[in-house]
Amino acid sequence: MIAIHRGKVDPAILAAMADSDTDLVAIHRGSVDAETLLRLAARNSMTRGEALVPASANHNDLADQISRYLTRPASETQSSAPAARQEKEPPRRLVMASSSATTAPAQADTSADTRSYVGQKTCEGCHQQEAANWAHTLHASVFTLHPRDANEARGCEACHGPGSAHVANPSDLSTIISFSHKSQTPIPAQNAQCLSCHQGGARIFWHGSIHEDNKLACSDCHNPMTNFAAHGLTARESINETCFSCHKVQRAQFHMRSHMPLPEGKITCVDCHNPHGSTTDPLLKADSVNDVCYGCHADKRGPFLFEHAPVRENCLNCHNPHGSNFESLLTAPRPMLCQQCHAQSDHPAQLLTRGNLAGGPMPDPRLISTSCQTCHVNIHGSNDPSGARFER
Amino acid sequence: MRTAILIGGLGCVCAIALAAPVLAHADTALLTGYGSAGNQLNPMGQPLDLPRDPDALSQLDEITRTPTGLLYPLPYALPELTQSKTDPDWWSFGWIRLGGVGTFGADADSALLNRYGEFSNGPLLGSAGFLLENHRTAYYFSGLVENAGRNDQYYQLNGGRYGDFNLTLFFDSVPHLYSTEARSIWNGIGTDTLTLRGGLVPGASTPAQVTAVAEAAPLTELSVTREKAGVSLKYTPSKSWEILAQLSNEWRDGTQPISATFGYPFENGATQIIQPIHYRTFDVTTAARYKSDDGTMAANLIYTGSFFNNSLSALRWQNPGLAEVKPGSYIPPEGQLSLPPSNSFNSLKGDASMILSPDLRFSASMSYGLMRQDDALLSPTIGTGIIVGAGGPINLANWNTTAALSQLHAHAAIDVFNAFAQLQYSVTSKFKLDFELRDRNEANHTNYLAFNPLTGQYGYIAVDGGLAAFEPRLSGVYQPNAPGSVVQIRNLPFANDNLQVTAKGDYRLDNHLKLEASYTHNSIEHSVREVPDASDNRFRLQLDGNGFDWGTVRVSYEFGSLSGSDYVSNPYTPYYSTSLPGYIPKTPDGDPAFTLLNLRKFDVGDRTEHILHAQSNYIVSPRTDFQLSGNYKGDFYNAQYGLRASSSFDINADLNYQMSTATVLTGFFSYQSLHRSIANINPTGAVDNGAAGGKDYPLANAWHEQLASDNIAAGLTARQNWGKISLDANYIYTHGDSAIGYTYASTGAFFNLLTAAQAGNAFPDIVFDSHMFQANARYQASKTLSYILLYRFDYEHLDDFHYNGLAPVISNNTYLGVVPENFTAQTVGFSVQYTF
Repeated sequence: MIAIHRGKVDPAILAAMADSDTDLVAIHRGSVDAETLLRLAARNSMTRGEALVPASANHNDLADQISRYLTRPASETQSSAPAARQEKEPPRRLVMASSSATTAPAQADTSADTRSYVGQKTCEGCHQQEAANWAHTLHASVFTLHPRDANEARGCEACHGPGSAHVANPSDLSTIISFSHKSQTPIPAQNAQCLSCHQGGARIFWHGSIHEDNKLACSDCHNPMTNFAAHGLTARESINETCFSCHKVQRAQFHMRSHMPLPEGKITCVDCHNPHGSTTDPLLKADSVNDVCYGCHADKRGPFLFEHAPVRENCLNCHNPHGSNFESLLTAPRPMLCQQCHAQSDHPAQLLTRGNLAGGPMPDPRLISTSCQTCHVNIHGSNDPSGARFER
Repeated sequence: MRTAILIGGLGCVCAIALAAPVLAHADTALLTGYGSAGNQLNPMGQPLDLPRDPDALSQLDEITRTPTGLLYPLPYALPELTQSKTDPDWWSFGWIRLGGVGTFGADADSALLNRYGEFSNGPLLGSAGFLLENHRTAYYFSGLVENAGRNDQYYQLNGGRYGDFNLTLFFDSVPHLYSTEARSIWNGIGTDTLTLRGGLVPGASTPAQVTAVAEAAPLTELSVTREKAGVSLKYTPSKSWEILAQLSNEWRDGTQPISATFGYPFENGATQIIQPIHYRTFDVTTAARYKSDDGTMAANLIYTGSFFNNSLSALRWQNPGLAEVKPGSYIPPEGQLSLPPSNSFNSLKGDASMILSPDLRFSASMSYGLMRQDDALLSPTIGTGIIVGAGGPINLANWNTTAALSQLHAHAAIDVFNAFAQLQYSVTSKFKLDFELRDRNEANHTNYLAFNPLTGQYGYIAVDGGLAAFEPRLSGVYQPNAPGSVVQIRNLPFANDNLQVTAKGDYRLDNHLKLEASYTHNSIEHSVREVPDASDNRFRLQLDGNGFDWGTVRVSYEFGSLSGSDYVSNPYTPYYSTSLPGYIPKTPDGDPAFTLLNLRKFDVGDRTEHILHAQSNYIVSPRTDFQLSGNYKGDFYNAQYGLRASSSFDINADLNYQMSTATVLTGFFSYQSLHRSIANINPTGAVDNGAAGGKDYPLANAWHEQLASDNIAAGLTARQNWGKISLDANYIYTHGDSAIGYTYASTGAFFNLLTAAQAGNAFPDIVFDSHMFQANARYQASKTLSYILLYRFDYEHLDDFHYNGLAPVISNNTYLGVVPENFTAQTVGFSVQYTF
């Protein structure tokens, strides 16, 4: 590590980092529990002479990551000042944005903030594991291989802000933007960091959405430090798992007798919802429930010659999209479902009983199998000139 | 596979623990139903089988939590790229996971087991793929294939330049298996023409003959496969602009059970047949996204087009002729059923969000959508012969051509306008106001008149002439000389307008606690509905406790009150023959009421709603999370008849214990209770205003029905790592029990056709039980080679009274024999994964 960084890092820092045992432990004392300190000390003692490279790391892998970083086309933004060993600065919040919904992307309060960027390699000096994990992510690929501006080229500090104060006083988490439960950065400020690049697009209605109102941080659902999931940089191993970390009822409903193929891996929550905000209260991806459903069920879109009122109004009048004890995601068994609304002359309002079951004394097609839809088959609407009652 | 998602929520619970290097994916944020790369054996859609990284997310903090306080899972030990020896700018990674899987037991082919995936025995290319990156130019290419050759396969190819553009091509297959045991008395399965087999005579077969043919028919599989292929391009020419274009085409092919009738409930003659599915849906989405450099403004412009095509407009099938009509009555020999028509949807949408001042943000959206359907219409019938209507004979020859139509195409059209505006104002650093307005306006332009220019008559032919034999006035043709000839002669152009206004206040009590209150007023206008105007007023209070050292808590209560203009039980008169000059009521005193006067349709009727929500997660110890949540929703309708009340209650508990980086235990339990209560009255057909207690709807014929469902879902997960060997074990149990009970004032509730003893007071419960246990053992033989062993046990049993005792012919109605295919099955699998 030292050899690699030689020439790139201030000699004073190099010297300090060489005394890995004491230095690393000292840096983190007070902010890291005793068990971790012992573990770090043990690792560093095993690799004495190799500075901060832990024994458990694959040296070739780490070298690969570092070499990728060093050979990227964009020039690195070098920290002009050796930040790690400056005098301890009083803790300051990097992002001065208030918790209001008008939070603009993070703007450092330059009037009071004298921190400076220390460079990714300095961060990696202590955060090797984070760097190793992060190296596999899309952010790392963009930031290291094709950064679009100076901020992206900063790597770690593109998101975490200038690190000089953190290096000077690592135990004070208010000196750095962080995104976990221990963070001293207000959630709106954390989110503003992400939104500095990711605002707009699918997140254009984030502000005022229920997730934002509930003070969810981006890092409640995303963890860009590693690839838990195949895509989306989610905080769990899949999009669905991420949503189910809070939405427990839906998790249970998707395992009911009747459900869409979400547990089978064929759809995800974001096939219907936009968790980043939308024009609808349930965070739908389209402007109405029906518009969402028609995305897969275009055969139900019509318009039809003969429409069924509750269908055109809202698919949820009859269906529960997350799961149901009754077939076809119905909210109630048939004929009960239909008899909630129909009492016309003739047969809709007749009570059907167990005597009308297939094995009963008077089997009735209005109860057996598909019940009312045995006759009224085109219940979502009919385009047949003889389909006024949905029988054709 | 139903295992993965439920298990604990935080541990990896899929059949095979998987993770991936960076694989770009299509930006599906704009699209509904774009699917996932997963499948039944890999529900999380992860391409690689990888162990967990014992170094966790950080050496400094072995345990990390989300801001809300939930444990992050352990990350995967992600593989590294390999530098090319010939061109050092290129780095690559690839993998292949090959093996075999076998499912054993008599139920291995069960439709329920294979409903959305494939468990068939044989070799399995579980996953293969690659990633190529040029570290000098930032170009990349990647590919992925999962479950190749199976009906739940997935393929993807990506190319692009990091931070610049991405091009994705994908192909996804989703099966839906309905039955493996259908027995069809028709030939031509999968086509638009079904002809009776086995010597059955159209219109003149007997139940015994139909039964014999059905029992001799081979078992037929009914299934539909949805295959979707698409291309997606995302281009970022600058930090301010993003251009997206996505095209996809879906092929949906197969067969599914459907029904249609030639009769009436007491006449029978219903037939369960097989619908051919040959759907094509072409979707196109293009978008331009803009965000200003200073972050004060963002805008989107999106075009969406969806074009659904059904190559089959109708299904024709021969009628075995089991309807019980008077001898000599007309029995249709065949019928014609319209299939979903081709249609299109085009929408243009614009979104914008801007910071007007440091304390003021304005967001807005506007979209206009056009739904169109203009298929060529079918003839009202395909029958020939003479049927007898209430007002005289009807020659079907005058109705079995498109010359009998008032128009040859549907000309169906609905336009939809959506607008949304939001103003957020930070009054102080602690107090924020939010005002929202949503407007949705639908205009239904469909205008169809059921009028036959050949005969000068209004109406149609009901069920290809089958009803006239039972009740001549139900022929479908308006015959002015026949009293009570009530026929729908126009389409009902349903449309809704919603204008919703919300005011929300948000006050931060301290760094952790926040109080939120909101009021929403929703004005609703229904076209051609029982309640023309309604308003829904909603009040909501929420207390958020976030970021405590011990976790998070959230409690909310919402009250809603929907009320509208006077309920009109029959707003449909203008669309029926009763509005035509010269219409003669059924009796000198008039017609029977259209419906029960006191019934309220729940989707438009007055309603009071209560919603309670409570959610918490508690950091029990540095390595243990406990989550508890509960919900109550109660809807109480101001209705003596119809849906009177529905409610649901659930409670959910999760425990996540990350004992160490080697050992993780999780468990969860969910209980949900659902209730629903309806009431109705069996009409007599007498003439009055339809009020409950009158001649038509006497209270003696009243009945009530109650639904009570109890559902349990529970799961346990254990993951243990012993260096090169790891073991994941998962168990999920699901139980649902729905009890439907009823009471009635007298047996008049069911026309006295049954005795009270025969009717009883409840249906058999609908009971669903499911057990799933899965264990995966993994051995990392070397850095590049791993072996994975899988064992899985599945049990599912559904007892649904709708299907109990199903036979090919019941009361002169024919059935395919599609019933729940309960199963007990065991699956074993072995895979070898090689990375390079």
